[in-house]
Amino acid sequence: MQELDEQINEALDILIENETLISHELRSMLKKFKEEKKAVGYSFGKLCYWHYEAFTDCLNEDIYNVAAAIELLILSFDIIDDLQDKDSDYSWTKTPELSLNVALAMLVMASRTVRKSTFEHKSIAIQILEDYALRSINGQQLDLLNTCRDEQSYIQMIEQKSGSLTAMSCLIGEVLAKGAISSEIEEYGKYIGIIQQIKNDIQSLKTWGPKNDLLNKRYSLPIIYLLSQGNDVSNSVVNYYNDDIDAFLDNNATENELTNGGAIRYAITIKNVYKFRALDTLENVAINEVCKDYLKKLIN
Amino acid sequence: MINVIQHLEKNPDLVALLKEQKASLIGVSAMEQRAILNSFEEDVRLENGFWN
Repeated sequence: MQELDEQINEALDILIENETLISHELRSMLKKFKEEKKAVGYSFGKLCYWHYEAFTDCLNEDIYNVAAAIELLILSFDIIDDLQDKDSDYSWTKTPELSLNVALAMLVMASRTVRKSTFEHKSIAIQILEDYALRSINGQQLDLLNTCRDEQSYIQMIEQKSGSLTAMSCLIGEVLAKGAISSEIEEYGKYIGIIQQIKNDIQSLKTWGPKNDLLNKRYSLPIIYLLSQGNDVSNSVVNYYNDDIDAFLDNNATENELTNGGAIRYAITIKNVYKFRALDTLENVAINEVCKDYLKKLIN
Repeated sequence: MINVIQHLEKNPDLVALLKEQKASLIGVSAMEQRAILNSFEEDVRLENGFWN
């Protein structure tokens, strides 16, 4: 685990331990869920930290608490998403009713932590947190409705669902340092979320199991492409999506069509469009090289 | 973009011409064209036959 991850992790431990208004039962679940999250790292908290560090002259140690607060919000959204999608095997899916309370506690603790911080511009940070969290919830609602079935509406949906959370993380760091936000950082922040979501969508097609978007009749860019092709494989997938009882999905033919028919390439192309847009925007922002390098790793 | 990729998948010679800058895609920006050409250099396999 890297040093910054460890600092955010430590801040999370302290936040959970010091919250006096939660019971032993809630606290132990919070700790357990946080431990599972630790394994994937704290990318959102790090986005916040690096943007704060890039624009501040004097580092306020409270930034680790704010980064931890962002991670609490992200974890609460992940838990709710997993409970809604029923496609993961994290421990929170075993006790959905209890896990919902943990997610609610995390959400409240997130804004409470920012409010309790010593930053001059914390009220703007809370406003950003609330605005972008609501935008993400809007995107999640659209995703669950499964009605975004073309390129434009699908990208708008993932921009809200995923782009809002990455943009929020960057902007909170920036605003705590400067007291103001910039449109460039909001823009590439959003693009990072879009890129990561498209990568996840491609990843979802790599397993023929409960997480496979195609088996779950979900829409994503490669699937939108596949459904538009009008060939035999495409038609059988259309029939499957339309609940045609005679629909038959040939695994090998479908995989072959996704890889050799252009569906994955199409998704990669759209991801690349956002990659180049993000890199272009990033070039116009005066931030230090450490922050830039971290962002480039997420963009590429 | 779907139509562009579909057309290029069916006409791989055109991809080579685009790379050599002997052809261009009408209605596609330079950045989009770069994104398309880069995607033809990336691995599109759904690795290791995961579906089996």
